[in-house]
Amino acid sequence: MSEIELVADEITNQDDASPEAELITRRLGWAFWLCVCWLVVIVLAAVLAPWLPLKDPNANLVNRDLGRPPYSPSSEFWFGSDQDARDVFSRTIFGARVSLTVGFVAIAFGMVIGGTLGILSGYFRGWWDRIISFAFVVLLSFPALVLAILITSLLDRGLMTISLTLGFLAIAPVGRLARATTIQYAEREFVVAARTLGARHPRIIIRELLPNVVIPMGALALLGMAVAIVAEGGLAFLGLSVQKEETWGKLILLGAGSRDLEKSPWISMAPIFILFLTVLALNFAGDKIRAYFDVKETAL
Amino acid sequence: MNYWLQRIGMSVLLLLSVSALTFGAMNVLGDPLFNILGPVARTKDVRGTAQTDGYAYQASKGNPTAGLVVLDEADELASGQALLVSTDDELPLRTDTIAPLDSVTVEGGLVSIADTVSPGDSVVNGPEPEQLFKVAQAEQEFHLDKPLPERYARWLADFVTGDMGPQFSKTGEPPVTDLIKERLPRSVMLLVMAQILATAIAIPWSLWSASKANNIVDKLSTFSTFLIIALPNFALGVILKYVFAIKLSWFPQTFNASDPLLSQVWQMFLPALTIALPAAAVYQRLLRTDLITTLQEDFILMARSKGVSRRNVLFRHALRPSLFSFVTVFGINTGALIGGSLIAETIFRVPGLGSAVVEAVATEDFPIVLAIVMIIATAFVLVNVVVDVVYSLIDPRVRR
Amino acid sequence: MTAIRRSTNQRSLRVFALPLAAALLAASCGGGGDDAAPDDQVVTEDSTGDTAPADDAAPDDAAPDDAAPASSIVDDDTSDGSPVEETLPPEENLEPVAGGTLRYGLTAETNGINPTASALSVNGLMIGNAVFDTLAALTPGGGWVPYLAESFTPSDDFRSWTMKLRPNITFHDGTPLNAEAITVNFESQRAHPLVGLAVKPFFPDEGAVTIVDDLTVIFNLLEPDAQFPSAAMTGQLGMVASPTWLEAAAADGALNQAPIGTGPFVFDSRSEDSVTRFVRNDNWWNGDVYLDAVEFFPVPDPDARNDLMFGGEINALHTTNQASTLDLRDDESIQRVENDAGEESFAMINSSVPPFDDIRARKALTLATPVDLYNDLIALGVNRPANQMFIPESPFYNPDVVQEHDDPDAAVVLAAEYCAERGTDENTVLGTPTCTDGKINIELQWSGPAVVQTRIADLLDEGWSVAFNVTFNELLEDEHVQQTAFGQYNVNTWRQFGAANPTGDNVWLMCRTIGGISLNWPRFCDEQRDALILATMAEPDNADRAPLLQELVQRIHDDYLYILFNHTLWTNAFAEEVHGVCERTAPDGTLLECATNGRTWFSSVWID
Repeated sequence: MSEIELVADEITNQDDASPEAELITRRLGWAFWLCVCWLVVIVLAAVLAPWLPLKDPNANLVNRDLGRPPYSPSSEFWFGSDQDARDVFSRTIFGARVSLTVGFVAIAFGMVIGGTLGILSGYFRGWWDRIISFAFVVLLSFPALVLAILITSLLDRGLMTISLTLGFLAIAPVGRLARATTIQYAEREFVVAARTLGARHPRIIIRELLPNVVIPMGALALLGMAVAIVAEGGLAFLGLSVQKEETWGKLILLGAGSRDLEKSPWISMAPIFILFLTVLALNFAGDKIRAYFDVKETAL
Repeated sequence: MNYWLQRIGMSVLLLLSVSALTFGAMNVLGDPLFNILGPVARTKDVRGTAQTDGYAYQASKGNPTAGLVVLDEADELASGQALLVSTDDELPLRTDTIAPLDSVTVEGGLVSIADTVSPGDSVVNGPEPEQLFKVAQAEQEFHLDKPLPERYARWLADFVTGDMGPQFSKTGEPPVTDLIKERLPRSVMLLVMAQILATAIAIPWSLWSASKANNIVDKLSTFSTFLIIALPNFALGVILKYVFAIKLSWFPQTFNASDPLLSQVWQMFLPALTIALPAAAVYQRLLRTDLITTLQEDFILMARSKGVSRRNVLFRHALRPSLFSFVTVFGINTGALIGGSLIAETIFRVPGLGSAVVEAVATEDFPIVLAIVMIIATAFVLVNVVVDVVYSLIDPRVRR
Repeated sequence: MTAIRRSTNQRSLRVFALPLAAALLAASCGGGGDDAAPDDQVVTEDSTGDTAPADDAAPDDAAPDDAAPASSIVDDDTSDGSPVEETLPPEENLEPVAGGTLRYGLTAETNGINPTASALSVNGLMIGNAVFDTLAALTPGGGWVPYLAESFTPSDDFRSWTMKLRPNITFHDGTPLNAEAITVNFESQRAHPLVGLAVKPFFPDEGAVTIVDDLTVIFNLLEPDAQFPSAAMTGQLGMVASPTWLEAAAADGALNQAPIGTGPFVFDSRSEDSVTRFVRNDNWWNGDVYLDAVEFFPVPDPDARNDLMFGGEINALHTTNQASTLDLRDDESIQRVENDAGEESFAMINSSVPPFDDIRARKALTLATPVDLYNDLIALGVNRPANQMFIPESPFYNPDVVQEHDDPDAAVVLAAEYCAERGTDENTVLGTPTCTDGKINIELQWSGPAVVQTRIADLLDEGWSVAFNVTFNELLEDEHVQQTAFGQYNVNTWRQFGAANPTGDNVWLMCRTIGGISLNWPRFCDEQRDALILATMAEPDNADRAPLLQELVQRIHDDYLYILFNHTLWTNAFAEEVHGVCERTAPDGTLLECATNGRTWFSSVWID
């Protein structure tokens, strides 16, 4: 979780234009587009899953010719089947629906709440800023995973609870970044100009600051989404993830016993692989976007 | 001086907020009584049904059966109160007995119960008197009947004097302080090992990478940090355990608390590595960027032109300034490592604070959760202070 | 290694105290991770109990022909169907040697080791076996003998039992074992708010135990119980702890972790979630003890437990996990004792809350249950499917009682009928109407987190979804037991009915155990059934009890409260160097039972 924090720190420190920024070309590069392609594919597959010609992810497709499940990967079961003869491929796709939802809702929530608080405290400063900044520090000094298990075990384990819990954890790091960026821009010429021209606070915040703050936050959003998806997996490992729907974390856990690892590794390895690729794509794309916009900023 | 005072004040305020939040959340959202008594705790939420017309009251042990105050209406009865009910009525909470009309004497709003009525009479599916008694006893013993702020103050007063409270548990576990004393050293050892491993991996790796900046080796190594960071720590733990403990049998699979210290260090290697690898990748990325920056500074170029060897430049001149930001990240990252240790301790069965907190959260064992959260928060604060101090030592300009 | 198989003759007698305590108190911090049923939750104790041992032993050739799994996808090496299978070699030619440490892998950690204050699940009982002795002990034939007690003598009407203790036995702390100690133990259990629930319904408020002399007490019962010693005195209620220690532990709860009994091993150290260690008692009253020490390691993950065994880190374990059982069978060097005469795994229905207050809804759920798939996929064909709480070898088995399942069409019809008539009632557990869109709304509870439990829930949901909308509710073991005891559930997965003597299972069935906290979990009261139960208790002779019990089984079936999946199979496994597991004897030389419901004993074990 506090990887977000690290990234946020890295981003805030970024403006002392590192020489490396010069080395990065102003293009995003083919690897970036490969990542975007993967993300588009996985998001489309997740959204369209019910209409795709996939096997029912919950059906026990016992096939007596194949012996006792789990069945190894074949033309019938692309990624093999799990212990209960359910198709790992279609479960992984359906699992993406929940995992991506968790990641998206979590980071969107963190962005909206954390971003708003951060911009406001960075713009107005004063006591308001002190209180909010202090609240961020309080939140950051909880170990994130402990806070997550505390909340989920005291509340329930619905999809929204889990997503919002992870989103809650994102508030502080996102907020700190938004605040730092806002402070940085609040003194810039165009803001000062707008203010001297008599623009009102809401207008300055929305028209002048927000567009500038959103850019570094966009990069953070991709990285944060990756962190949220992994955090859900961590919760699943501790038995505290979403109750009824399948998630990547739960699918991995299903095959993570040493016996299954040895005899039917595909049960856990297939979702690990997809999760891994997705997180990698999110991290890589986020990193590239960050570098790309940093260059643009210094060009301003 | 002023700065440090302010610093300490903020830290104390921070710890108070953390403890108040945790304390409030657990008490409002959870039920401490359940953890103390188990299923019996629910008897306080159970409503029985009246089997006869008469006065309902709470007959837990030792209560007077004379002079009960008759209420007109009640959702819950305290001892010493009574309520007139008729057959098949749903009873108020904490009501375990009904005295039929012919066995009571009513006098001016007070009612007395005859000896013929014994506790538990005429109530079905309600709480048993003995169970209610246990509930009342536990509430008193653990001060659960007091208002929340008072309980928090009591807890705080105990905590600062080093008493972390009893473990809430129906079987009477040892005090939380004992549990912490037993488990904290293991977790600290695990984290220290992890940090040492991570540093030991990251420094040579980043030096190597930086010395070959932007050639193919460097690019591959940068890419591999992405790979490592993208691999979730639980997956990493499972894979390490499978490969090195089960398949190759190089390491034992689990931790044994009764083994001598040296073998415990050995048993902790894999969990420490699970935590250390992703951390090493993070450190490597940071150090590498930093080193590349430093290597382009004038004084390095100067050193090189004076004929200092490449190796010497890297170690003597480039690494030291880079350690500056390393110290910061090292501090901040301790929080992330604690999260990782939760998973690693669970996978490798190391009975440390991580596995204790997971279990305590699940069973709503408040004193343990509070104690561990406070320990972690304190560690967090301390690490940040230490980082500040180290900063001011490395770079006197920071001193205020 | 040659397998010696013997067929136990029956589920013998069993007592209330044990199951109850274990059931409610179900300790274990580790969560029920092991297997197909709520793990260790309702662990009853096998006791046997025949006061007339000779004539009712079932013939040895009673091995059933219907023992094979009803439907398995693949033929596999299931056992021959006898309830007990042993691969322990006879030890005749070997002389026991002293020394060595038995390292035992358990399914979960236990909360405390005080038989009067802790819920002793199978793991707690196993640890208890090292440090405590029971007043009576089971024998392999399904009988019992006095053990820590010298004798038990019933009154003519079986309403009271006189127990005489052996002289000159002391607890590890030097406290003498006497009538006073027995009274303290009994009353402590009865006073416990949960353990007491199982004890109280069968004893009078006053005078349940009276002291005759220093070594003699009389137990007075509410109703005649012809199998009292075997049922009550061989399990948790029969374990005797030092009264000095009980008193100290009441004041300082931490002492519950450091038990003091009369047993073959003395408590040494305990590091929770890691290891609990006992060392040899050199002055044990019942002869020499060989092992230097016994260590218990809680390992909730069954795969990990097996890995530790194969890796030599432990040399004994127990499991109900079917995959683990298959792996253990595949390893020639490992000795096993398997036994499925104990509990059954099932889905249990709460009849006190709509929709399941209506028998049509209960029957619909039963018919929609994919039991065949359960036994194929979850149980891997290892367990024998169950039709009733008795295994086919039992003298009480009723061949006419068959568990219905896998008839979704009929389930849909019944559910539609129910919904048309009562679809607007409120399901108070969910807080919704009982029906939505012609399907019945229910909540499925189980104890977790455990991968297998989640698989079971998914599998049941897949079958039930033809006629039911199923909401999931995974709870920690303690909470799961609480919700069940308070009737706050619709249907859950459970494991129970392990009583060797059917008498021991009465506590789950009688009207008198319904209350705020119920042990009659389905909260189903039938006065006629109670009358039948009391009649079986009063009957000392199995031949006379059989028709009554067969009628009881039929009645239980007809109420559709339990959807039986299979008979739980416990496997105790030992490394090659472990000997003497089944050589435990009473002071008079009688051979004692070596494994029941996952528990074994340690006094006769030695390692070469």
